[in-house]
Amino acid sequence: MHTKEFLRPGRFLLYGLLSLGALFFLLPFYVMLVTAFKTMPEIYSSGILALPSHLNFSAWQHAWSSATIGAASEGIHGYFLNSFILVIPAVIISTAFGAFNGYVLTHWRFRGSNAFFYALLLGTIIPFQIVLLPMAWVEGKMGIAGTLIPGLMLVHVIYGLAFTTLFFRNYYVGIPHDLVKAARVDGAGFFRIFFRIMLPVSTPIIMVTAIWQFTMIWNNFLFGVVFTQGGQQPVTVAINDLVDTVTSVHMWNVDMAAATFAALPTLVVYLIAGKYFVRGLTAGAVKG
Amino acid sequence: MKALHKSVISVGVALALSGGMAGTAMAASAPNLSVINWWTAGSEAKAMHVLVQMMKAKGVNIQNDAIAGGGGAQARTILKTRLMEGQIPGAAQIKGVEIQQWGHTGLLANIDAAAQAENWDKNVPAVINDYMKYKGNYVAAPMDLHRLNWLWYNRAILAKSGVKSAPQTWPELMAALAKVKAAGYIPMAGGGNGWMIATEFDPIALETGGPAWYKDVFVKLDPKAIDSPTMVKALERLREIEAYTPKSLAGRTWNFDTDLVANGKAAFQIMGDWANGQFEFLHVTPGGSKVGCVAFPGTAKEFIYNVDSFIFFRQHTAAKSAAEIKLAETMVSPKFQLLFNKYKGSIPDLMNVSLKGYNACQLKSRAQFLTARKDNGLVPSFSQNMSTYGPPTGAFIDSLDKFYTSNESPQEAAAAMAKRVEVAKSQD
Amino acid sequence: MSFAKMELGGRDQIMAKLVLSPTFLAAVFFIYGFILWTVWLSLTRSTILPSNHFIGLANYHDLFGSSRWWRSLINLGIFGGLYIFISMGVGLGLAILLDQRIKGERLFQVIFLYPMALSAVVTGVAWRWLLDPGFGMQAIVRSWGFPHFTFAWIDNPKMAIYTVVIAAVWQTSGFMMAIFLAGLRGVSTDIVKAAQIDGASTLRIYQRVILPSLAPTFFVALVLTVGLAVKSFGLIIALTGGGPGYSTNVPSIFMYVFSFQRGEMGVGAASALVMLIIMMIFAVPFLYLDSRRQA
Repeated sequence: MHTKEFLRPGRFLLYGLLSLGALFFLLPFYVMLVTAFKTMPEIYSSGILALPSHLNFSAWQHAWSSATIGAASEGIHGYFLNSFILVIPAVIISTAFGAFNGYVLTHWRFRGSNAFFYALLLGTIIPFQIVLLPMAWVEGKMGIAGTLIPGLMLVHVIYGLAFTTLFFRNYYVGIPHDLVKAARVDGAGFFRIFFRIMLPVSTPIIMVTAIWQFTMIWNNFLFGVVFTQGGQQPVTVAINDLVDTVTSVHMWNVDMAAATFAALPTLVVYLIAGKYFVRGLTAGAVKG
Repeated sequence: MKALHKSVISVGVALALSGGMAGTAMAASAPNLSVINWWTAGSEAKAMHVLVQMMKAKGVNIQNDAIAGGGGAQARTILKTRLMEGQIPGAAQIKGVEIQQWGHTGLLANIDAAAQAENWDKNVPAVINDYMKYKGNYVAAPMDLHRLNWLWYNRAILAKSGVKSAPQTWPELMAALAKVKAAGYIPMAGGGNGWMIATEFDPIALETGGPAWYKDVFVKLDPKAIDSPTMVKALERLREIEAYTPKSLAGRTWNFDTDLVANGKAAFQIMGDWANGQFEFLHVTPGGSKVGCVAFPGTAKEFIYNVDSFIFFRQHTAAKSAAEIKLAETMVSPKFQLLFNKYKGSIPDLMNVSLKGYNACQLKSRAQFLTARKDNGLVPSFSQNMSTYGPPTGAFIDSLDKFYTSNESPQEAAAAMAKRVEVAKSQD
Repeated sequence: MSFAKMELGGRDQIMAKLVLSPTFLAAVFFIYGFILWTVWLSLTRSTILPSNHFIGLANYHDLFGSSRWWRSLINLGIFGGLYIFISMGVGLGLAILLDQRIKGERLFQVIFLYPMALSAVVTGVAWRWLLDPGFGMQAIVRSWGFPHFTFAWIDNPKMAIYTVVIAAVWQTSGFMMAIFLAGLRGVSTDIVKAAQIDGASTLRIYQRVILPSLAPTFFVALVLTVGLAVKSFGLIIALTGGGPGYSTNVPSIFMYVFSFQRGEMGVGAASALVMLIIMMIFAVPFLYLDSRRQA
């Protein structure tokens, strides 16, 4: 921005505020990491902010390959794979639908398309508990109950549509309609216009949508625990099984190690795609 | 009530029929039974593994669907979604009065054959068998027999505080707590969440009013018994215990508190005998040199019981039904019961097995059960859903929650409790 | 921005509607259909399983007679209001700060954004530790030489709900920051330059030029935070379990407990519906404003 001339005296204050904020934001993750490297006796005896006396990797190893989760004692690595198998197609499909929906709602408007959009937005605030029983019934009838693909994936795609449509619609609205009109005059049809005009400039918003969906689906617990069974469950269920034990002693270091593992893919996605994310939003994703 | 019956049964039958479609497709392979439970960790999980192995040896595949969370909330959710999906489980971890509610739905299987094979009528106390039956037929199998009215204590702290022996009466308990506090230790570890508050109140209520009053309140839901001077006194006592429980333990789970007692940081804990399992895990044998157990002061002749059990669902293939019978038999077999209860800290439901290898507190539990049975001192635990289920239990727990975490007076709380329970009753 | 009337060219228009139809069908069936089912359920005597026994509005009567429900509603107002307001405010504030050509901007962005990557369970547990008076912030600050420092909100039934706000704001404000940063960067530089030439102060420029042009950004941010507030079930359970007592219950927790744990499905369904209606009422003015803006 262009106001930096006005803020030069306050530069110190600026960095100070940001650093303070950074500290606040980093604190819980620091606690998590530090705990994962300690041994249990050390956890009981030292403060939560204390650095570990040495880097103990046993908790990490146990979490990955030998912790008892549900009926098996093989750690969380298998569940990791499940989460990937689930998330990647779910993100691709829901993003694709969002893109087409946004395209239609902005450049192929018809009577009621606006109303349709706002009605669809209800999908963003529907509490997931409402969905559990009726969806279970539907999936049972369809014969896909308890499965990762297509069972759980279907649920995530359906309930992601409102969000992905929102992102793309608000983005495509910024693409001048004249471009589309001109293309139609030239004889281009519905799909050609999408692939020739909309898609080439959509990288930013595809990134935004994919990141949002990835985060929401990867971290979702409730749908995961209800709509899959046995070995098909995603990693969030495994984490919960570890952390939510009532009847045995908590192995905090294992819990934290497992939780860090589970957070890694999303973190990596943010790190790598983060620049697209902000750039994506910059390019008009959130403008009207 | 009849109309409710019919409509619930019709839904139940519809579910069962729709499940039949899915069921027949799987009939060809070896019977595969889903057993829904929430024993995902520790010794209970190990015991479930043993059950899986034992069943495999009998040619039955058990799918151990252990789902963690919330004292069974997640597991119950999944039980219901599975039924909606048409996937009838083999067994589910449901106990107490809730078994009757499930019986109403018409979805449960008749497992009399298992009961006869292992002679439950003779070897399992009638009071337990009554819960397992719906309209005269067995529909559930008991796994264990827990006692609620225990007081656990750290011997060293008591000695250092000048408490000569474990308290046997309420005044002795109060005196002991005061001495421990003066000596600088945590007097009472508890109060961490609603369930724990209710669990602590369980023996306190019994001590205050006796078994007859307890049943009037928690089984009969008699408003006059609830909004009574006895209840006020019981609540006052809860307050006194609360005063000796550090606020810093709010939000702590019960096993954290057990750790405190085991490690010599806290003197007392009011908890059911699943604390046994926790103590053993920490290599501290209850009844040994470090930690002692005594009946909650004033309730030595009584036994507040909690029985975990599994209900069985009606299957559509003969193979699955037979497999269920085998499962029920195995659950109540001496071999499994001895193993399971040893680690869980409770005692077997079978009275005809000798408790080899059990610790001193568990042996005490068995002895006091037999005494209480003779003296009419057996009382179903309200905090563990043995005396009521659903709205009424919720009403009690919400009332205790509110009382414990606010400045409500015992009189107000007792009146509010009676009102909530009245409302809850009308929801049946 | 307004659209000229579009010519409704036959085949393409049909194609467009066809493309929209899966979403349309999904919305009708899986969103509105399920909501209708929940409405029906709320009018029946459903306990441990759904039943078809109609009882009118009795469940609603029981619902509003429950002090636990009222507590949940109040908490939704407190938590929802504070969460939406503060996370958007912090997000906007951080975005403005980061917009000042900072060295290490990417690093700061990642630091502020990463909490979104963590799941609810993890966030809840980590914050529970930090907020625990026994060994969390209170104990730490005291060990630094301030023996009277108190920060035991999480154990206090009256204050616990505010700890939920802290954890939730921590998780989401980075994402709000990203959204607002994009919006800020999209503000037309010409208008800002013109205002600067006119001699307007920085504050004035923000007030009169920049913030108003962020209106569409606010809309998206609002929709997302409202949705996240409704979904905060997992975080609250992990952080406080809904307690102490039930003092941090919110409608989504109430609904889950009553439907699945207590075997009072009819009351649970009623609570879900009431929550939905409240959120819709709250959202409608913003939807209207946005639709006006689109026209």
